[in-house]
Amino acid sequence: MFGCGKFDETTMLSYIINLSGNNTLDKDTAAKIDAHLMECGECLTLVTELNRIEAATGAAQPVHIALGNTRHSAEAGYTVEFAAAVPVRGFTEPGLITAYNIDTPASEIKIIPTDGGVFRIQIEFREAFDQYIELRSPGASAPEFLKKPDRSSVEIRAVKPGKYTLSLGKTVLHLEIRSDK
Amino acid sequence: MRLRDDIIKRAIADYMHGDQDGALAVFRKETDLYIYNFPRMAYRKTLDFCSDFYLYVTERLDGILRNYPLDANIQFKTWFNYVLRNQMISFIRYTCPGEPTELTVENIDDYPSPDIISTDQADYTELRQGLAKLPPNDRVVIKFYYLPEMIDADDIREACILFGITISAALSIQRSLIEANYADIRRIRDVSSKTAELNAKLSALKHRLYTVHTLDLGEKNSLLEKIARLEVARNKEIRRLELPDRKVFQEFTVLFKNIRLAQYRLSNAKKRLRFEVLKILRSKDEGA
Repeated sequence: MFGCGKFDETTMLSYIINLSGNNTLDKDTAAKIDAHLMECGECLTLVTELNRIEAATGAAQPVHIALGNTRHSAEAGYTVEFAAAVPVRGFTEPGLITAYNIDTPASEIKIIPTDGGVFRIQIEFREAFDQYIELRSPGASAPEFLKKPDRSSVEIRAVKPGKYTLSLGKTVLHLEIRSDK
Repeated sequence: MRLRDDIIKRAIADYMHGDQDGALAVFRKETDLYIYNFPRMAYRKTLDFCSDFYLYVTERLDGILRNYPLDANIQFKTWFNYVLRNQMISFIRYTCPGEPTELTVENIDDYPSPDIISTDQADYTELRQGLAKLPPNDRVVIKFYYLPEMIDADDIREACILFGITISAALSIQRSLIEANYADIRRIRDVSSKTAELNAKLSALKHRLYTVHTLDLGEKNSLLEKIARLEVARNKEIRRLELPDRKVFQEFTVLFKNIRLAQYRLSNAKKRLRFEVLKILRSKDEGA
């Protein structure tokens, strides 16, 4: 049911498509809907909202994200979920290490399980990286790690399982480490 | 962001009548990015929200696809926006029980800055209060020109009475203004990034000119020439940045009988808004 239900979903969606100049609805029906919208707040609110979404989604640029980069290492007993706004190539290395390659900035990120159920994140840049690196839990007031390394290799030690945002300069990566133990 | 109607509709038809796995793979390939970006594009939600929402929707794709009215001649994207908005309401109800579940323009978040060092967020409280205090005709003018995404059902109805237009005409103008605004934002971002790039090059050259004392006259001269060329290019970009956006104004003037009237009404509304915002700020200062 669309809004108050006077017009069906298909007719109302055709009316919204009509607003961009595509003649998908006959003039009589469009005029009837116009008259109804003037009276019905519920339908007008929904139509205005969908019209806004239609315009915003049409004009906005997508953030390209590497999806489905989940690595599960049954032997090591942990799962890593990794999402980024840049292309990511994920793979598993010998020694229970989960690794990801990204191009911006050109680097390899390794997640290595260590004793005590914590992890070590090792980032190898192809060249010296001189911007801030930050690891932060969502909603936390202070970062877990913040450094401007000015060299090509950085290590973040004693990372507990959880959700993190890893920022390499302006590149923001989302990381979730789940321990099965 | 566009979706390819014909390929998606074919994939849905195949999903309903034949090779489900193959059709689902095609559908996912065409729409994955759109589903992921929907909360960000429509409500400026964070990427963290986007990834959770993406997983929530992909788990329910079977039911979503089976509900698509294949026989009706409607654009897939419009239908999908309607479905994704409803899915977002269910998702919020599922993840944050007790929160209001009606999604409107009020639910648009201020997207956090990607700069990890800057933590300042713009505060629009006074602007919102000032807008609420304006007479309806001025509020509608300001919202249509500067904040077309913030136009709600009351503003649309007000615009119809004020400008003597139909609801569909008011909604069409709102859509054109949102699109023009996005294009203007892209232009400003493009110019800003070019200016930043030129500034970085300029500072490196100036640093070399002032700190390296072993440069001979010829090298210094060539450096100065490069700096002059880059400064000219940078000033050109800054002038582009200061240019008013013609497309937004062109779409806005459709509401009025002529350009002069549009300029007059906009300037009046701006003055009144400034006055109201100043009054709010002053009363805040006196209260503090």
